[in-house]
Amino acid sequence: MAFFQKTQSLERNGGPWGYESTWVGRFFQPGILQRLDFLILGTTAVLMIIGALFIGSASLSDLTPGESGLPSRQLQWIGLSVVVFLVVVLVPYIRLVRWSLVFYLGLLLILAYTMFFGEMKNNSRRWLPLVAGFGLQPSELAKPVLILVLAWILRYRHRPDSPRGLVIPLLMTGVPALLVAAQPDLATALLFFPIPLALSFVAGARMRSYFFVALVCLVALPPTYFFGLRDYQRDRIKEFVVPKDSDRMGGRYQVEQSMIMIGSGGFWGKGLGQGPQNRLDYLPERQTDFIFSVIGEEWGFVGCASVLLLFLLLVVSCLGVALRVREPCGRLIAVGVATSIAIPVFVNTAMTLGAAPTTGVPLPFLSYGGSSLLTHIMGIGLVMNVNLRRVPVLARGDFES
Amino acid sequence: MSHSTEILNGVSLRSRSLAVFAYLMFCGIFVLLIARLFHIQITDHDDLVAKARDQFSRVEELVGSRGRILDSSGEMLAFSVSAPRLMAHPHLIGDSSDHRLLAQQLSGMLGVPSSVLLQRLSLDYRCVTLKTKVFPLESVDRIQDWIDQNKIKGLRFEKDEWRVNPHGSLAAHAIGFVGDDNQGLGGIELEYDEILAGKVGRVSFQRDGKANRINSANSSDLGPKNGCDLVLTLDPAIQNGLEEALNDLVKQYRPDAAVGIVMAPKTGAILALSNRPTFDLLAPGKAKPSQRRNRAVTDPYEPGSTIKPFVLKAALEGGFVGLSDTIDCGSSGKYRFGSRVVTDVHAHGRLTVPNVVVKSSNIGMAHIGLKVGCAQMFDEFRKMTIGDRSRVDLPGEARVLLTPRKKWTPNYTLVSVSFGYEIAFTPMKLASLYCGIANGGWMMPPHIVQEVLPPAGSDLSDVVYAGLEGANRPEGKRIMKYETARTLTSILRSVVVDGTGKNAQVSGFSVAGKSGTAQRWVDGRRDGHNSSFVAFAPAEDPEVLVLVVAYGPKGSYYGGTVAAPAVKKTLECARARLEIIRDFGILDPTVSAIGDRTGNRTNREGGSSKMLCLSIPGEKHP
Repeated sequence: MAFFQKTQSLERNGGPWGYESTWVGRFFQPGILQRLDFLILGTTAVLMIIGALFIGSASLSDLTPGESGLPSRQLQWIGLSVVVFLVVVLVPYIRLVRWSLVFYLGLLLILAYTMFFGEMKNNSRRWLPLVAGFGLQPSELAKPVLILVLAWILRYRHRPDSPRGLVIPLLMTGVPALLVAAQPDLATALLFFPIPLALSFVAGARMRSYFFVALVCLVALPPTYFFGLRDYQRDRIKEFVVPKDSDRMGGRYQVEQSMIMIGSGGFWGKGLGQGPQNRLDYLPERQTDFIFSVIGEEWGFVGCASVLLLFLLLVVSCLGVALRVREPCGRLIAVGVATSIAIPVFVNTAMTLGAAPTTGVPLPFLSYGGSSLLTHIMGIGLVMNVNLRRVPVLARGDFES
Repeated sequence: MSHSTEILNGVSLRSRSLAVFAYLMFCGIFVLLIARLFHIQITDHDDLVAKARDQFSRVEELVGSRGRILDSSGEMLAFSVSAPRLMAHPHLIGDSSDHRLLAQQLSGMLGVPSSVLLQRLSLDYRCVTLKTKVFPLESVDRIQDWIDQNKIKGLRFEKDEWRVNPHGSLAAHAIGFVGDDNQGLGGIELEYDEILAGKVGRVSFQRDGKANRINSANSSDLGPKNGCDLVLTLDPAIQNGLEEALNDLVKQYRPDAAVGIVMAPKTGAILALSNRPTFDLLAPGKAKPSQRRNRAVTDPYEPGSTIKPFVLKAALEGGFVGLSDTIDCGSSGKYRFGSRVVTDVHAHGRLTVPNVVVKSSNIGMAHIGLKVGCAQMFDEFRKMTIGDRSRVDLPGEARVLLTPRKKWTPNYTLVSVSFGYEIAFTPMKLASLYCGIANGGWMMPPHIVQEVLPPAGSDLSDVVYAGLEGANRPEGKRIMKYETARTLTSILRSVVVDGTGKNAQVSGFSVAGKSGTAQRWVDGRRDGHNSSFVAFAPAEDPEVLVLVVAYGPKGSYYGGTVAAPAVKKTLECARARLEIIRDFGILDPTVSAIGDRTGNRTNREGGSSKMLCLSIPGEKHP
């Protein structure tokens, strides 16, 4: 427990926050809720409501009765996420960081368990069934754990500006990523990596380490493409690079349908629940990965741009928290959360707009699915947590000194 | 921030500019995404809307039932039965193992090898045809039940029809046939395709992403209209007689081809039409093009002696010869006209003008032709419409080949034309010209459709129609004086009584006719003969006319020998038929027969049908 003692000294001295006078108070500090950042909270809530609306719209179908239970189930997930959010906010983030290695090891165990005993869906084991039909994707939950453990390592264990540079953070990410890639869920696994890259960048890794990593990736790319990928994965990349009209059944079909849906929405859209492409069931998985296409058809350019601006607002707010907080762990967590939200937004919307290959990456807060929702709510909770416990900054200028 | 245990002392190593750079990168990607959004939703909006509409908005064309073709007695010569097409959506059925299973299960029911079905299912199409024309309907029902019971997705029947010709090769060239898509490809089926096919209806509907059909009626939708039935002038008994006569002719003389036409001279109605070689309408695809050729209208031939009455008509009406004049046909059977020599089969010496035709002397006809002269002869031909097509309502009629007026020379063109060379027209044209002699000088356009019966619930005004039916048919045209026609008839009667047409005599039936024997040109050289005989009867008031042409007969080649017996047989058959009709009266059983078969087709006027082919519209005749 040696490394725990080192961090405990910070709290004994009162630390920058010093709320805890009782044992319970060390873990739960409801008093701070009055200082919540309502911009972040409000943006998140609006996104979740839009998501629930369009999940409802996407379950409408003119002929085949869709899964009508989806919207209410999503509301249940939202309810659960509020509880999770409160828990994450109320426990001081420094304690979570301190326990992050335990979370990390637990995560590896769960991922390994999922690999062997997870629920088989579409030829991959990604799901851990819970009670009453609710299931979780441990690969999604890996993101907040990664943020915490990387913050801990960069803060206390490893100098990113050392010659080894990015190696340790990338290795820490690589282990769960490998387990996820083996499910197989390559896209989710790949989307882990922006987190260590961004955190190391903030923590001061040298630019030449990035160039080195880029070089290694370049060299490793061809053999990986030809030997490391499964056929369908290669096909999807091929479809994206060289679209074939004849291949109407594969992933290209979804992208084509998605673009037709978004494009036919026009400027104002056709109105919630009024899109013919939506109602006529042309786009499979539109309540999850392709929810953005439904928004495009029914709310048009106005709706899509608004959603994107909401995401931009959210990401910028998180980065703003990172700028304001002076404690390194908190800053790293805020940047990590901003990254973990921005990257799937980019990948997902670019995919629905035909600008990226087809991957099973959901749109944060909007797509149907509890795992993704809980993950990102935890992220928002962490940012809130950091924001609530920062020492107020009276003057700027500390950043570059 | 001064704890010695901390490795990272504040996040102060990054410069502000780098942080701003990262910040801007985030924002930049959002801007790019919104730009892309704008491109798709605003710039490409119209294209993508059109694409969307293309895939969910569908219009189905509904084809009405094709009309039937009936002969003049109401017997069905061609009709359509429902024989749907089995379509499959391979991607809805499942993967390749599902395809294999389905192919095996369907193979027995469809009578198609499972390997063939599997191959069709494996095609990378949204929709494939598993079998066209599934027949009979019981098997369709059986398959549909099987689909319903097993809840098989992605299989459906599409409406289609199968054209049935119950009489096989009977009048095959006149009736014609249809393609797989029920489009007329020959004969009446082609000429009257639009009328038989009816009008295509439209039903718009929406289709969802799983190819399910969602009805959404549109105001522009129109129901299909069934096609009209056609009643032909063909008489089943006479047609059968003609077919048998041609069979005998073919058996005896083995010609390359033969044509037989029976017409009613007073109306121009075609009572029978047959060609050899022929083909089976039930399998038109197996027939060679030469078998499918309707030579009666597509092939002009040099008529030979059968043109002589018309040359004589020109001479008589122009006053160039009188009936009592005599012509010197020479004592050697050879006569020199300028640099060419014309020969007769026998040396005839001096012949009276009627006897020139009766004995069929080429030399005599050449002399008569020369008396008429080039200009007058060409003019007479034009008046007799010899240069025009017959305008029969059958597809593919060839035009008349006649030397242009300016190129006529007396010793070549005029002499040749006088006995039927240097001019070529179709058998149909010749038959209709002879009808002109038989009916007292009227050129009646030949026709094979007697009546158009509109489908139940509509009348003729609904039908897009070329205007050939009944009263709308082109008017008859006088081509010679009545007296001339009667004179020519009596001469033609003599041909049969004691000239070259003795083989066409029918006891108790006064037959008038003319033989024709012409050398045939094949690929620029003489090769065999075309032997023809045309006759009508009774001479006093002709009711029926028969023309038989044999192309390149073996053994004998004289028209009076080869073709006359076939004409005789046909006339005998027609005579029996005429007697029956006379005995039963004009309002014969066939009218009610049509009514019975069609059931609901009671809206047309009864009684007008049968005798149209034989009776005379009075005002057209003197």
